[in-house]
Amino acid sequence: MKRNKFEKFTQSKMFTLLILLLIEVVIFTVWSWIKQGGNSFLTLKSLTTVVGTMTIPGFLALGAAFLMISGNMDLSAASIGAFSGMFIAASIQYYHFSWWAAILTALIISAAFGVANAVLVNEFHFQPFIATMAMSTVIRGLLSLISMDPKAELPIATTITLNGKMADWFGNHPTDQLSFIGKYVFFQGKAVEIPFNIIILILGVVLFGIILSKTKFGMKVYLVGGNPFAARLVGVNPKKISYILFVNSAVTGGIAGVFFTSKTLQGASIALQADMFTGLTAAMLGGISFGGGSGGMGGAFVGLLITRAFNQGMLSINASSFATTAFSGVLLILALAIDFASQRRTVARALKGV
Amino acid sequence: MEQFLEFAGIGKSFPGVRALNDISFRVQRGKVLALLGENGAGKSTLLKIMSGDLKADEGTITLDGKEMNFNSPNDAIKAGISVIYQERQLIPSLSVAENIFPGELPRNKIGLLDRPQLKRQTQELIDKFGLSIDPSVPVGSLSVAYQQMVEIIKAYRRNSDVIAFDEPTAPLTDTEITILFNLIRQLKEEGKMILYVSHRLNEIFQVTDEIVVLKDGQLVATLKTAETTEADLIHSMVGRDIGDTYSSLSRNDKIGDVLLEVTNLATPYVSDISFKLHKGEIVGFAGLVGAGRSEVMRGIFGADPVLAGEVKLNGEIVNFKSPKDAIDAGIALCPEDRKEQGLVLFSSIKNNVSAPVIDKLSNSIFRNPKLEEEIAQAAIDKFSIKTPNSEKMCLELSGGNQQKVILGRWTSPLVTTNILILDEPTKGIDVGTKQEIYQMVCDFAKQGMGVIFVSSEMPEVIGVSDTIIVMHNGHITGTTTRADNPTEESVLAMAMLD
Repeated sequence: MKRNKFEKFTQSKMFTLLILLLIEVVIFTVWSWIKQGGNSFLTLKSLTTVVGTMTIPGFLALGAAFLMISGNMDLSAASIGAFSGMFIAASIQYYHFSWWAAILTALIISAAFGVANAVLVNEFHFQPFIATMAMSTVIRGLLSLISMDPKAELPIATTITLNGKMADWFGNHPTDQLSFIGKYVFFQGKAVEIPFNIIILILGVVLFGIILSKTKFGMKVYLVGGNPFAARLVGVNPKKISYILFVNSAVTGGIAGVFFTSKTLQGASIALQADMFTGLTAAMLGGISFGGGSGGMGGAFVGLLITRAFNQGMLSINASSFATTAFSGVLLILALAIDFASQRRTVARALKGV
Repeated sequence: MEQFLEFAGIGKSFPGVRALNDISFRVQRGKVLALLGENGAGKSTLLKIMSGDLKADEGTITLDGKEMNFNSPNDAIKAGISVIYQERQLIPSLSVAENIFPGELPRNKIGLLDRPQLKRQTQELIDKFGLSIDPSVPVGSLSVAYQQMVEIIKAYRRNSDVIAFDEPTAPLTDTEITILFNLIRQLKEEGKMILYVSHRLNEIFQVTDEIVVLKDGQLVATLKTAETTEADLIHSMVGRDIGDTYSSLSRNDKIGDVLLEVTNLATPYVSDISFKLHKGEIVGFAGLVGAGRSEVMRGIFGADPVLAGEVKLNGEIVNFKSPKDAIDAGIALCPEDRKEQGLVLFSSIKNNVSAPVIDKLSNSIFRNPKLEEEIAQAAIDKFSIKTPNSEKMCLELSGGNQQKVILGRWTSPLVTTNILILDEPTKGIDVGTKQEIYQMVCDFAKQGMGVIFVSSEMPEVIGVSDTIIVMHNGHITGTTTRADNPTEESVLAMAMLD
């Protein structure tokens, strides 16, 4: 029985992913050793960096993964995150919001964007890819509107910086409290720091994983993703699921924005621009199929580790940023190829069986 | 030189089905030959072989004495064979002229598209057939009938010697049909060889010279149109014994009160549908593909919007907004296309069986894996589904076992099914399993369910049902009961004759 379980594990996608991660780590360690004359990859410092940069694409991946499993897609989550971050900065800086009120309002606005996406896809029957891409552009445009300083001569700002002094000015030190979310070190040993935000991300992954695999709602998400027509004919409401998941994706995007602003103490119009790509690559690498109906949260998390470790690895071998960008694309193509091949294998096996 | 298209000994098998067996006939130049047969007789398969979509297992096709060997539809087109399908193969956004000359557009001296020349050439073709179509309008803006004409001109322009029509009149009005027939006669005079597939007997008498009748993949008759009657044709299409398959079924003889009463139901696809279903009764819906039977079922089930009429369940008017409402009221639908609408193919048997009862599995937000397994195992045992365990993906099951998973889904201990709607439950299933399914249907009736049995196979509707409702073109065209001793001839006549 135990042996059986082990065998099953070695044939699972998760096993393949872990092997992939291991190969990646070995390659970068050796490569950086050769190039730098010493190990500059497998260090605690780079581990902290990897972990520290995981939260933002991580939250985007969480929302995207859920939608993709249901057979949908959201490209606007990163823009929603940037909006949410900018909104928090502006509302604290210009309108004296307390930090929690700023965050709450930002997340409510994010949810509204999610509803807008869902309406476009479900009521107007636009392709989710196109609809959310358009929304993404609209939201990036709106960013500059909310960055306006009502008292300044040049009202539009591309960034709003929250600093301690200004916070003093408003009293109540709202930005200091905000910065806790970004920088608070949960555990500080001699050499190891576990940032607060990674704890939140892991809690998110676990929570979403449980929802997906253990709840009735999760089962419905898989059914809708696998075959929306069949799901409807057994009494599931695919539209309802779609609305919930678009809102979910927008809110996780909004949360990613909260982390951005609390970490950098900035609202920026270019925030989170590369993170959507990383989040989607992570989800796809993690075995969440473009077509819907398969994949899980554990895979998405390991996918995220792979993409982050890849970025860190490229840094440790002193690769140019061009190369890093190009190879990130290659990584996505690889993810798609794995998805495609595994689907073909399943179908081939099934056809042989009949 | 020989001047005809000849099919010699064509045979084709699909897994578990012999689709065509030793089909031989000729189409002469300047003649129209009708291919006639019930659904599943093999007409489409034959057309697909002729057009290079499928490869025959045995036999040859020769055109003017030359053996044809097609690897793709393109080969067939090059050899001069065009098939005009019901689904248009035109590009709606391009103009009529561009659709007629795809890939061979005339060019001017500097290599650009020569529009005046293109328009002139197209106009010549259109005039030749005496039609009034503007060559420069996009095809998508034309009516279905004119799109079909464009397709015919396209085939003609390619110098196709053989032109086959697959149910061409289905979407056309009477005037449009007249125009089409004139076109066909014109093609005939030019010495083309024409194959005409249709269910409509009166058309076959109007436009064809010869008739080949197929049945269950066999050629059963080659007739001269002028020497046959409608009755002859129907007899040769049917001509089979319904036999013992159905007489050995153990039926329900206690039919109870009215369970479902449908009055003047109309959906976007069907209208004026009225019938009753009693407790323990099997009501069969017969008709040809596209008659609107599945659409009636979808309307009752809340899957398509209901425009008019009412549905009464146990005497009370119900108004289902979605399939969920219908399921909650005790109605279950096994849809016609198992793979597209019935199953989540890439999911396990277990998930597919427990799908409609997700919300009943537990009182919390969580799933109940133990109960799911129990339900799935019960379905596997009850219907003897061939699988090692309940985790097997439905994609990996045979058609018959897939159908059993769907039946298991609606008869699990947590669902209350009072009305079971089976839409083409035996499609693509081998003979042995079919027999099993017939008995299951009778057993459901014995348990007191009202069963609606939709099928395009006449013998099984007649053999299994207590009451048979026949549909044609979105309407009910006849009703008969087993007491009337219906025959395939009588039911087919209701389903085919307007």
